[in-house]
Amino acid sequence: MKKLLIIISLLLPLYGVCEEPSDDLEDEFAWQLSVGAFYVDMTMPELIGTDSTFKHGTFLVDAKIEYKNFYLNTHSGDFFGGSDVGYQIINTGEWGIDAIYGSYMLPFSERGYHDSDDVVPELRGIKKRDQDNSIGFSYYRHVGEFLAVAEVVYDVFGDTDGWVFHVEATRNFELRNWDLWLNFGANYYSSNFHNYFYGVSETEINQYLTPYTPGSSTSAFIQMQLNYPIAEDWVFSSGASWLIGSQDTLNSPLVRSRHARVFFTGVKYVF
Amino acid sequence: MFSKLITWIVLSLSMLLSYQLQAQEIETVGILHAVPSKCVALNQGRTCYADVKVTVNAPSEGDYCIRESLSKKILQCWAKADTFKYELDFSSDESLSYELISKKSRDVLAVTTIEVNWVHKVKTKKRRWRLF
Repeated sequence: MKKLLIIISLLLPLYGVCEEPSDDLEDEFAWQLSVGAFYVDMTMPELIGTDSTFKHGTFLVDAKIEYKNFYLNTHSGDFFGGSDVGYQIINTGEWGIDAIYGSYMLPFSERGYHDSDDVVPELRGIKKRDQDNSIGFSYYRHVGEFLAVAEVVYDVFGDTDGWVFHVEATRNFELRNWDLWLNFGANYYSSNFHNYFYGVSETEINQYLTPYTPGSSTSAFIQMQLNYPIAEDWVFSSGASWLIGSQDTLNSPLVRSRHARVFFTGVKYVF
Repeated sequence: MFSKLITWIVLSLSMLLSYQLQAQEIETVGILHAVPSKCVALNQGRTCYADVKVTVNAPSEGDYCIRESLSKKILQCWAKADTFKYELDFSSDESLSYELISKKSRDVLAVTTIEVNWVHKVKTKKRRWRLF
């Protein structure tokens, strides 16, 4: 199964079923880099024995590279960060299908979310949960003022052997020179995917952890972002995001909460 | 310690930016003067909005009008005046020029331009949202 998906993902760029080029399809190289200073207040789902809140000022870099139908977006400045690699297979303007690569869950280890922290006694001995490296398809369609997206991805290059179904809707409100983005949606994590992150195997048992094999799980989220051009190369950006996992998340001995939220505000220089 | 350093850098950047913005506003006053003379939108092609204060210091008293250069649309006229102000509700996706003209002769006495610029020249193919 994995090998088949790897072969398909490698062959996809050669397929190039590009229909009528639309407004956002230009056959040329384009890039954009921004560097910003942000204040970030983040609370992740609480792992036992850890403080999962982070409040700090930080520098963040966002990069966008596009060439023909390929695009690469890294956005440490937006919410929880991450990178997206995609390839537009079909784009009619009204709807389209992309081949996508990305990660859908944060990694953690016996040190919590940050590898530089000390080992957490309650988590001592658990194997490292590497982030997934998922590949799949994204179907998107304009529905009224919203852009609706449905994604199905399989963790081709990771260890979960699981898949994720992700749906979301995004709307942009232009308020004079302000941009307000509203986004909400849900995730469905397959049993294997969820088990990789929140299951506890026999070899990971310690005085705090008991064996646990979860089934599939879901989460829902809503987020918004506000942008304003304060000068020709400067943008003020602020955003907030909330995510809640389904009740079964709390059944895992690894976690104490099923909420995540982040607030950030700052300015960035756009090259 | 590191967090404090970052906070100071952020504050310094904010002050520097504030100074730059202020510097952009300070310009020499001519016959026809518009502040701000630049309008910045987020993305290329998007309409840019600005509340522009237009000041006229004509060399002598007379009847004058301000009009848009391209469309020749008259925005407002003044009779027997040499100094007056006009508040322009600017909205355009391209730079526009405005002219001070003599009401009688229609001669153009001065021109000022409000430039429209954009922060993002690259229109991204996707605005994907990543949670975890």
